[in-house]
Amino acid sequence: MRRRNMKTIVKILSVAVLLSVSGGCTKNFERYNTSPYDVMTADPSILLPTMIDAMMYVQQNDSQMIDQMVGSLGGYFTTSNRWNGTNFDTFNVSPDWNAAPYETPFLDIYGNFFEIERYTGGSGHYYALARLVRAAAMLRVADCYGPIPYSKVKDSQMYVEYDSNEDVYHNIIADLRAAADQLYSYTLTYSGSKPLGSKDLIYGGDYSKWAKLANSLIMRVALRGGEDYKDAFIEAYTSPAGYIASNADNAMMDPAPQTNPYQLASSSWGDLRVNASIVDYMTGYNDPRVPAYFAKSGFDGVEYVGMRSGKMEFEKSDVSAYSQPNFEATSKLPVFVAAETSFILAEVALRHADWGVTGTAQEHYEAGITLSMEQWGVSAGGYISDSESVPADHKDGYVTGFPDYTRQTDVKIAWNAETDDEKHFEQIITQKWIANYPMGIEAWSEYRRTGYPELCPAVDANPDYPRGMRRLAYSYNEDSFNKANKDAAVANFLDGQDSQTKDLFWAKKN
Amino acid sequence: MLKPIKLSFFRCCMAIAAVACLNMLTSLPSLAQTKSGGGIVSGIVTDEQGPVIGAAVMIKDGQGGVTTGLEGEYSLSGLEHGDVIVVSILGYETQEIPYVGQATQNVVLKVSSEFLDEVVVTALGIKREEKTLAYQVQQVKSDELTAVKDANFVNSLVGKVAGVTINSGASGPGSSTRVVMRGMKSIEKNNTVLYVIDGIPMYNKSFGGVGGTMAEAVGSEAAADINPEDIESVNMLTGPSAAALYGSDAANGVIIINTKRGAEGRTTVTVSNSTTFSTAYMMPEMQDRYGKSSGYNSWGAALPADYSYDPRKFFQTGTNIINSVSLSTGNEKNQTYISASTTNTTGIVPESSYDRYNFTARNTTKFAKDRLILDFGASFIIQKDHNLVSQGTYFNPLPALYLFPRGDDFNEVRMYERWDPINGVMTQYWPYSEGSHNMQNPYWIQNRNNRDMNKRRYMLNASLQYNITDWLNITARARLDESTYKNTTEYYATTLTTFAGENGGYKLDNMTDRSFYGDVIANVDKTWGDWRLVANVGASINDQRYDMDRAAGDLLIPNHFATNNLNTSRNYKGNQEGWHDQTQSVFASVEVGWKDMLFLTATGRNDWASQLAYSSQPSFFYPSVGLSAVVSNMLDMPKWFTFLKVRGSYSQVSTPFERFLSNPSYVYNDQTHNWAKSETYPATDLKPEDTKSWEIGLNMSFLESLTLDVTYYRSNTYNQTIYAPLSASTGYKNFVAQTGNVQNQGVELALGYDNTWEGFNWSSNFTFTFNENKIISLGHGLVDPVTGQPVADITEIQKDWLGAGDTAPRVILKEGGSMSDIYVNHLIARDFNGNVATDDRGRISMESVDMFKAGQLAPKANLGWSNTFSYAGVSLGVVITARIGGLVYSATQGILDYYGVSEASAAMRDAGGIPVNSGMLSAQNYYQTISTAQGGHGAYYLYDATNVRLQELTLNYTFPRKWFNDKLGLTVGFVARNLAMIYCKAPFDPELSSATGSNYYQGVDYFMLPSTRNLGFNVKLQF
Repeated sequence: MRRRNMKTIVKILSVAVLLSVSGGCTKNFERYNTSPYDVMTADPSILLPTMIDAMMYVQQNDSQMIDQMVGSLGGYFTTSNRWNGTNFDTFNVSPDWNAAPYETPFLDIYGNFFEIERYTGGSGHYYALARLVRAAAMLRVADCYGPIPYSKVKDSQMYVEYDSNEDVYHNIIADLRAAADQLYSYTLTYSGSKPLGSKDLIYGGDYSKWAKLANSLIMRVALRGGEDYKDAFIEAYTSPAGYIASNADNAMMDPAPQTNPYQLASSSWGDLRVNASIVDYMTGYNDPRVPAYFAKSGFDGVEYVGMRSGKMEFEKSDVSAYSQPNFEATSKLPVFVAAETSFILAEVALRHADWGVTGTAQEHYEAGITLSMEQWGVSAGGYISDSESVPADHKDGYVTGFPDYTRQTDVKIAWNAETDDEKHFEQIITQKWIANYPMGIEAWSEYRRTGYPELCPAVDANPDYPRGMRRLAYSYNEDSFNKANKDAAVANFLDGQDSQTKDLFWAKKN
Repeated sequence: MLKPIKLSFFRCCMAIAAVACLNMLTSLPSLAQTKSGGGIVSGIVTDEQGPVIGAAVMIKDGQGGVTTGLEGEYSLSGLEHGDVIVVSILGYETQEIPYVGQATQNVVLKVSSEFLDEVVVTALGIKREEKTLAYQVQQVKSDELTAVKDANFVNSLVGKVAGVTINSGASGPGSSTRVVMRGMKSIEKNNTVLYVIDGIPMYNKSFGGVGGTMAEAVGSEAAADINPEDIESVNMLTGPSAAALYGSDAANGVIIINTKRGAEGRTTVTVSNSTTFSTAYMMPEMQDRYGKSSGYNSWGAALPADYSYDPRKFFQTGTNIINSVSLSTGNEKNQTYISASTTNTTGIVPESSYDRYNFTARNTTKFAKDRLILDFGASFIIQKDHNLVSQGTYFNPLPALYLFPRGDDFNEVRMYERWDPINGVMTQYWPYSEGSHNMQNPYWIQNRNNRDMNKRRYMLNASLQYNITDWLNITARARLDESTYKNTTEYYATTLTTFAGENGGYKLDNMTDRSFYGDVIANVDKTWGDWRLVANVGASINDQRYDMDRAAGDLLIPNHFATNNLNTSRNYKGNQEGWHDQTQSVFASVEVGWKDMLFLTATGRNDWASQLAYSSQPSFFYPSVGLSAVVSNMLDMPKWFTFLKVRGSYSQVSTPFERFLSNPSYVYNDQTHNWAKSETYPATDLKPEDTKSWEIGLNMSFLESLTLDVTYYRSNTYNQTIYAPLSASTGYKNFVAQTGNVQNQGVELALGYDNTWEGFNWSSNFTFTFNENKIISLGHGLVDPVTGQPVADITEIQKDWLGAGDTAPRVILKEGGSMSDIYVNHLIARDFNGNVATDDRGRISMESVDMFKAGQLAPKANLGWSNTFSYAGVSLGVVITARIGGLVYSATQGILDYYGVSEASAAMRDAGGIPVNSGMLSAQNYYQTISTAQGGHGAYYLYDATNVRLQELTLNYTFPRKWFNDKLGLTVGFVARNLAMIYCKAPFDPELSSATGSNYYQGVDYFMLPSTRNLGFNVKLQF
């Protein structure tokens, strides 16, 4: 009995030895070396949402580091946390934060873009949408840094050349143009089809609206770029796909399943307060949108008070009572609103008579204000015809070290309250600025292009930055890992100055 | 194909288990059974010192036998002329005496010379005489491990072994540890040791964390689950050469744990209790004489003399109670060991605890005429921890405790919650802001932010050895180790909104890990004249898998903690992760011995690793070779020189690159619920990482009482997989570069002394560890894996900031530097003359400068000195450890200075400020310049980590057995760990680690839990 047992055991052992020694069996290894719960490959609808996020960040950290920190240069917000003194508004940003507005969108866009390009072979509606999203996201990057790599970006390219800022604009327009036409024709062929569906947090997959967004973005770019972009403007303006003309067409990003990042950063983290400038302008104007935009301040004796930017040091808890933005966790984030198109048309009508815009500047100006009031669900009342109110001075004194500011401008709301074109121009940009809240990067761009509105300067003035930040310097990683191309871009396109005071080609130069 | 192998292992085990049961049934009664009739012989078995209890006396090739009693007496019956009486017990030479009718036969046993030659357990559980080994093995015995028991036995190894750096996790009892042997080798991979239990590698799942100011607390690890009472001995293989047979994981050195098995010939029950009490020891010095100014700043006016605030009072006395009972029994055929143990600890932070329950059984049986030896073991472990605190700002009561505004009454916040009649919940009472450190009421954190870990683990192992002839056996072994974890976090409503929604939050992680190991080895041990051949040839399979699923989010109904109450529409995080690694190996080790004085060993191993799937190289091979010469057997040595061995070895260990690297998936973001393409540039042509090392050493004993082991080693790790950064313009964050050469060289030295003078014994062991880590090269001659075009050289890799970015020191790897070099980039601004620059109000400022090297984190040397003095049952053990060199960074000190709560800040105020140039600068201005709310600037808050401490102190008394009629052994003792810091200039314990899982985030105090001083007693009862 035992002998037999033993023999069996020996047999089993010998078989086991033989099996193992004969080289093992590794045919399951490919299965083992495949992540069990992750998507290995899929159609582009899986990847497009990550790209779309780069058009207006919902992800809390990205929103904070890009749309909130850089965006605060547009006068809507102030970061109420000093992070050891490394802030954009004190011209002393940490290298990592300075790199984020460049690197985060590049990483979110391109790996996925290459994959979609490969999957679609560079054609079809998904590819068209990917081109649109890429162009829209890169416009924000270009508006921060100027010349960036665009046309030379390709998969498996470790060192990428830059395009001049002008070329980036042309190339972005080309991408948007192609995307608008292709998506529009898709909607003609397959009306009612919404391929992305609920994965598209902006339009629920409605390509007809995406096409309108593309045209509207072209109008934004072309106006900023100037006369060289006239044809592109006209093509977009007259495109059968149309542009965003009503609030129903607005590009609004749904933060679900996350929460509104401005709400999070302000009320949960205490890192964000509204800027003194926007509060002063709007309270001065008795703007009915004030309660929709801002929460009441925690200071006694004042309903709304914004926080001035550019103070080197303060205690976070001391400034917590300044007004917060009035967002709910579910509030959508504007990417492009109809009011902006109206203000664009107003400006073109005022300053580019040969660009073919119909209607007068005043009509478009007033339509823009009306659209914005409608968007925020408030009644304009007598706002449009208010010919008395002017932007308020900043009255502070709530926190030691935050001074008052006396505003120079007396620009009024009512179109006819002003007479010269420059004042009308200021009116348009001022109202556009109010309507574009809270799109901070766009506001900063328009401020640099036009010089309006009159933002309070940094509290702790820095003599090196008499005109504030004019662009961001390139990421230190470009210096380390793409130096030759970056240096060439600085030499050829930025007159050798990779500085935060260098004006981009479309910026107002004084 | 694999399944059948595993199945056959299982069937094999089942069959073996069944046979074992049968065998036990038949062999147990046979102990008492004697042949009827025949002669009787009786006598006494003694050795040089007296009676030998429990020796087996039996008839050769016969059934049955007896064991000797307390006086060494025995009586054996059923003898016939020509029978041979065999007397045996472990540790003595077996004696055979022919029976020729004698009625009395006293036997004097000689201590086995084999036993005198230190036998050590080496690779794969193979026992070897130490003299044959070409590499360094150090042994720590059971009593050294249990002298001062720790919830994690690894802490008991500190100071006792050369070549090892051990850092305890900062969470208190049960924390994971960081054990690095002979320096850090890998830039990206784990550098900690491999644990091996009875010859089989263990997957050490560790919750040690990766570090950072927002990291979770350091958790426990699988190695900590082991009951120290179950450990027979621990062998440390500090080099990779010894480990070639364990596979890749052994590249960083191995801790081999040999567990107890039943002892032959006697039944012993051991009951022990260890109770120790912990108190907070090294804390930063704080002030309570200047009051609050604004927010958390305490830069205000002097406080009344009767005000006092001592943060130390928040800490309680921690208790560590370890009870264990074990039974060891057996005869020559069958030995059984059973043990149970409870470990219950409470930390120094209120409401924190670590509990563990261990149950172990092991049986060893010989049957089929001793040709088959079956060893079967099973363990079951329950482990729980609750609200562990180690460092950082998340769920750490220390920031609020330390920064508490001076002048306020801390008693007021002891009632940490108040009833809110409107919402119907208890709400947090904390009349302060969260500040810059996510601060909440410290008691709320410990009572209403509950972090729990529940773990169930079982281990089953079986081995069967078949002795085919006296020189050949085959051993098959299998081991299954499976753990399930339930990890929950409950955030009550009104917890900081950073962590949870208004109704509270909940996080559930369910995890399992399972590892299966099986091998079959043929062992040859044959002698021809002067030649001896020892060979092991085998094959193994190591299969490890891990699975985790998570549901986390905000609650709908307040304070109902269940996944059915999670708000899935906002901020919901669900995720599932898993992996499955398998390595199949064949290996061989051949040792040729000549005249018992010269030993040549060669090993080779080939691994097929699943991580290599989708790459061009399906397997890899790595060899080792070693030579050991017992010079004292070759030459005529002076009489006082008893033993001298010279050894040298060379080995290579290859490790696979990480799983999925060759087969990247899309990456899920559980916050956005979006998928994205991997941010790593496509990688092709991947190769395993290689460590090549050699060592030479001496082992000698001389002057009768001295032993000296010295080893010099050098290892170079090549082909490291580095994620080299790329410009984001490429669309990728980094690319995979396989390159580099990291060198470690050093010396391990152990000097032992053991002498007895008329009953007084002193044994002493001194260890010295010196390691120099050097990055010889990073990346040169690299090519773009897609285009084949050359890529820029990598000469620098930036690693972790040791705290806040751009403020704390940063670890930067540079060629010519070491892997723990730290750099700083801010200094007090100076003017063109080199004087401290001041503004018109005499204030100083910081300026950023180019990163410059401040030093390194790693110690230059570690020393340990353990001593045992014993006389007449009293023994005194003293372990002193020292670490020399290296730097540590205290963010805490900087933050306390910044807020004016440190003693230093008060002292400077007392002195009227600090003289700068010709004026006086206020303390506030000074400290708020050189420090920030997130930590002090690196240049001003680095400390020499050199320290000397009284690591262990034990005073034991063993009562004479005869007091208890020889029925009982009783030992009682006073024990202490970390009793006194003899020398230390840092404001915290430099040996604590706030992230044992990180290669670089070491030597950082960011509100780290203070180290503890532990005192208590041991009682051990044996009968």
